Amino acid sequence: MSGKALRSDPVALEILRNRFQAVVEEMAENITRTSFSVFVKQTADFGTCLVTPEGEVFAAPTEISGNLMIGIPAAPAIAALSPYRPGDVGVSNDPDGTRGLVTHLPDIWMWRPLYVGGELVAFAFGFVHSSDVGGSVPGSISWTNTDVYAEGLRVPPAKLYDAGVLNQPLLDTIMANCRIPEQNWGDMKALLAAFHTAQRRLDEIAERYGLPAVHAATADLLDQAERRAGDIVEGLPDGEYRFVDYVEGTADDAPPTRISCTMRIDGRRVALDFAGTGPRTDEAINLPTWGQAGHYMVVLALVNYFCTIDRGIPYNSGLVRPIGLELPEGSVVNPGPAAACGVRAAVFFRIMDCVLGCLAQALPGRIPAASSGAVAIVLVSSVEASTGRTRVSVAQPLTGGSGGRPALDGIDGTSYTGGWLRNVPNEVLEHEAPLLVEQYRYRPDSGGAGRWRGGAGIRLTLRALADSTVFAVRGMERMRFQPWGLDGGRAGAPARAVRNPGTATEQDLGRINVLRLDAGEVLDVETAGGGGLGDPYTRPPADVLADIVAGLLSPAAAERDYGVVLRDGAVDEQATAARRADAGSAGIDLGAARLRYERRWPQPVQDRLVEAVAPVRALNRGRAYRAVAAAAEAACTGIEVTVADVEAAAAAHLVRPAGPGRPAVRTTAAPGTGR
Amino acid sequence: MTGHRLGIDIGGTFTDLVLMDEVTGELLTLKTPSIPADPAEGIMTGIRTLVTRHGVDPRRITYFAHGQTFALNTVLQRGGARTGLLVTAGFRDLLAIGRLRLAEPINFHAVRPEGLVAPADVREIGERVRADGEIVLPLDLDEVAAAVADLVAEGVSALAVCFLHSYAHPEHERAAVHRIRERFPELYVSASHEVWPEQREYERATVTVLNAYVGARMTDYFERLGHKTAAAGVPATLRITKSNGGIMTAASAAGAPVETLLSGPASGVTGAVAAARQAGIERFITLDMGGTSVDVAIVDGAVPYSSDSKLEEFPVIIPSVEISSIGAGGGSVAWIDPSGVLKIGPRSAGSDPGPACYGRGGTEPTVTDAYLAVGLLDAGGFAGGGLRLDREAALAALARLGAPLGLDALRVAGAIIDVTTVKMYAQLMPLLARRGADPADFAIVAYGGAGPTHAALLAQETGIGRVVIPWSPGTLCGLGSLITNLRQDFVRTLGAAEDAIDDAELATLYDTMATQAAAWLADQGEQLDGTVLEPSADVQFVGQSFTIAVPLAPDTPPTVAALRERFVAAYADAYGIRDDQTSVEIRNLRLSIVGQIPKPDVVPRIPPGIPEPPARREIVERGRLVAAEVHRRDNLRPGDRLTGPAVVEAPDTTIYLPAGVTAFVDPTYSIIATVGGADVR
Repeated sequence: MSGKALRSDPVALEILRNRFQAVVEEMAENITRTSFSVFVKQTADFGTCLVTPEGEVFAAPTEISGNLMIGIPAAPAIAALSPYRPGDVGVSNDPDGTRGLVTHLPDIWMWRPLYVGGELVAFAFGFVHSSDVGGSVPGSISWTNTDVYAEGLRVPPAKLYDAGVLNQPLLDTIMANCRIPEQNWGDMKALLAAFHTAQRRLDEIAERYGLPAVHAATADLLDQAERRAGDIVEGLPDGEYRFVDYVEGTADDAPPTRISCTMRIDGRRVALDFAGTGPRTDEAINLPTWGQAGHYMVVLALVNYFCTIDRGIPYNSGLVRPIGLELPEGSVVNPGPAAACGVRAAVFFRIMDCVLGCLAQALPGRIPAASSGAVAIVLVSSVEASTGRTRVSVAQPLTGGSGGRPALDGIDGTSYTGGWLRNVPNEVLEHEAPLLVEQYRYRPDSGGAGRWRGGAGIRLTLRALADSTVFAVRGMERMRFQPWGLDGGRAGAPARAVRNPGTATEQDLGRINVLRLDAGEVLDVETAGGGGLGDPYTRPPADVLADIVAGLLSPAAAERDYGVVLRDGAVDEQATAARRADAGSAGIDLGAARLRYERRWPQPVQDRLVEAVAPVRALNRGRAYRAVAAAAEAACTGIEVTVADVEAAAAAHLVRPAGPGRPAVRTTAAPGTGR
Repeated sequence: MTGHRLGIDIGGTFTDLVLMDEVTGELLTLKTPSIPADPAEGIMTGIRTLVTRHGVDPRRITYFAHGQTFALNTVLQRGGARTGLLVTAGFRDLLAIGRLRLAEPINFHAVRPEGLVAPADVREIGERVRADGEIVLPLDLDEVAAAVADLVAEGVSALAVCFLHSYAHPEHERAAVHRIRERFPELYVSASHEVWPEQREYERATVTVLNAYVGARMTDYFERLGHKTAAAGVPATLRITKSNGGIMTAASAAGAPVETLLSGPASGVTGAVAAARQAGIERFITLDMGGTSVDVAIVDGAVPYSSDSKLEEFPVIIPSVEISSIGAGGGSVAWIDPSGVLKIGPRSAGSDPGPACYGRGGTEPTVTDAYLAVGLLDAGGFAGGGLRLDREAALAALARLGAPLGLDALRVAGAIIDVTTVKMYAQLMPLLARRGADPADFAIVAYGGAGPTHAALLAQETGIGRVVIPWSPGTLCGLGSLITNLRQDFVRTLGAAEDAIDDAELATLYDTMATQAAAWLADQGEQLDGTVLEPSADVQFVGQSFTIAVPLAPDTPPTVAALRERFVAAYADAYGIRDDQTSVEIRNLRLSIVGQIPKPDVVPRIPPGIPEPPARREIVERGRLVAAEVHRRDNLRPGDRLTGPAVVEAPDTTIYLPAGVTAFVDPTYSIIATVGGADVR
């Protein structure tokens, strides 16, 4: 136990904590029950919470929604529409106008001030992921959108209701700019219903327990979360830990988007510094955090870690108070205005990996290895022969295994990044779309070997039964750079997508994006396995055998990766002992592709590249980064690109105008910038 | 109706017997210790007691209904048969992958529960049928036989078979199980199209596996019990309670034991519904609070059924009475968390060592200790005097807990009760919200050992106006099994847009299901008052991927127009938008058959004599000592009025009516309490 005394009496505090929790869970149920969007129903991609007038989340649901409320920057959104009157409701889906509350346009956020006896006591906040807010493609999300204007309608913070009066012109404008206006309005009404519940329940609580008790409990709950998170941080060894990882992106000829996280632990505080992270990019993966303290999409791995270690820790934004963030302006994690951000989840997932990678250095052996680190959604559209209707179905969400965990194997088939996703029964999928699902199973030999092995990826093989069956797949990642293994554990297998495997027309599809198949053709997708944790030679042979029996491991891989030799279906103890007499493995396994890439582009050289383009205006920095990288690459005659190559390329490609000002990119059509 | 009805409910500690005289409707209840190693013998002990002590003639027991948690516990304790599974090639990880979603995505150390089929006991069979029934890869029966021979050689003694699309095109699956049953008569075999032919392979396979896993054990048990009761002279056919609140013959149950897995609490709801109906109450929440759990069902006019119940993480898609757990029971342990805050549960002291006051070595204070400390429970009168409670032990445990908080034992006890109430509140309110229900429109029907103790407090917290405490709330499950109906559910997956199906096809399908239902009912061999067919459908808008369950007119084949109209109305009701343009799609057609068993009116057996006047005792309420009237329940008569603070003691429970609550005894001896608005502190 630590810290200062409670303001509340400890019994009243527990009572009010339960009451607040009931309010947010009830709000979440209201939204689930009355919203429209498939996303909301199927994947619980919505959120709601209660926020203090100062902008801190003091209660958030844990049962049914996507668990992404802790650390939302509510204050700028609140300030944008201040002052408030009873009956006001704010709305926005604008990352810039809300300064990072919104992180991509399909999330329609709303908020309402809650009053008791004329006093503004709290705000109810919530969002739903709309299935469409206009823009270049149905669904509004495409990796290839290069700026936010292509991503749909943007509504800067505005009062949808002003003292209870609906702003009809605003609503009409919203409705006129999206493909599914009725559904969006339905989803917005679901949020309004939830806010109505919040006001009603807050009235009841205030009447029964009094406002002073409510204020005291709110403050205490935040303090408790802060203190208990601080206690956990205090238990971590002080020091500086850095981890770099990549989002591969769409451009094969351009450098991947680099995420660099340096974790500094100092007593009860932990800082995450993203210096060295790649610049804002023309791919729609920018994460518009606006540099907000404790931003929810940056801190999630730490918050989850706190909740894993202390199962009873209060679940509110007090958890992020001990966390400091450095999010360099103009980087992909703080891109500034008008950045394309539809698939910002790709960066969000990789940030989680980086934070865990840092934690793993602070706590060797006690942090899971990397998970498959991606969630791809497969949409299948086909024309119904009988009716001529185009039908769009959501096929299986594609995620892979989680990393090996301390004293536990990784979870097969899913991971923390996509853990809330449900799949679609294959019988339903075949009923709705002209497909034959030839296999949907764990992918053998995909989980990284380890004392605690990585979770298996999934193999999905789909055969088209009709011509012109179109697959739209977004979010495939870890196709080059494997989920890393720790402490001797091996990297998980990378993801892969192939057309017509084993035939003359076999074709590696890379990240897929859009694929049209005719009847009889096959799409074969394998998702990544999680990384392993610990030396595979220390995994008991019986566990290795069990994986073979379960179809997760081939005998060849057992021998190669685990040193376990089988004879007649049983472990050959002697041969195994002999094999295992070789040195075991230790340290991190980043996988072959990443080693190759970093042999070409050593970390200090990449650091220099990021620095070199830092003076370029954020809007152009991504292009400059690619241009300089391409030039350095072209100029390099040795095995590895050097700092000198980068500096020479930067000098040649970045024009510094006379007088003060920012350098610009000289070439307008540099290699790899054509998208 | 001239005989006796015997209802039996086996719990972990006690076996409850409820005997009803069909002529007078009088009830006799009895508890005997359960014999976990041989539950049938526990029942026979009870029957012998009825005969020897109460002079019951076993030959007059013409109706015998049995509720059990034996099948459930077999699953929970992983004590079932080693079960193999045959699946379509390409889907060997069907059970393990499940629906993918993690129960706790924020816990890095989350573990999935152990499955019922070892991965090594799954065999892929090279066969494939498409959604439209076209055979892509023919079944090879020799391959099936070889796979099963292999599994049997490995030690498998039960088998589940689930091939893709067998819900609509069962030919492959049927041929396979036919061959298997022929070749391996000793195997307990479950086929998914027989167990529950609904589209969704993981869920269908899961119920099929559950069925196979417990099947042999349950068959054995039912046979043994049947022999024993017959030998004791009981002429009645054994009937088993179902998860859907109905009953079926033991012979049916032996083939479909999965239908009994969630039956325990379901029978309680059936009993509560009967009690509420007698009291003229249609909208209520059943509150079953025992030692380790608090279960609720929200009854809004009709018993709620769910086709997505869970057993651990296993989905159970066969309809069952929809019951949710909203917290821990009387055995829940109170503790202080690292921030110095009072917490209750989720850990329970169970019955061993149990609460501190049980004097069985428990030293941690529980909710029951708090009841005792504040005077709600009588140390000498608990469980009908069967267990003497140690108040000093309770106070000592509470004092230890309170010391760091600066609270004395009585204040801690009050705090434990308050926190327990608000925890139930916090779980109940979202459940009501999920159904769009307002608590002010509902009553609580309380039962279980502690339900009647806590119900009025929960009502005050939630703004619920009425509480009903039925007669004999401790044996409501047993009673429920005596006054229920035969009930069986059927499903067919259509997955057809409205323009792809016509009324004639619907009528044909309905007739097929009705014929199947009638055959099931005929098999039950029961004299019935009547039969009802209750059709319903799962409908959605084309392109949306969530359905709404739409009830349809009874005993009538549905029409496309009626389906559409009812769905659009239900949708408008839930989402506030009426959409008459978009096409609708009928996913599943469902049919439930109800065989109405004649029911006498239930009358409690009241000891003769003149009621004694109430006693008084001091209890602590809101931190103050107040004098409460203490009644014995069998002294209360219809029309009696009670004013809180009051305590009513019964052999199976203690009823607590706080200050501000008034109550009366209705003609069926139920206590109906009126709870004022939220109390003021």
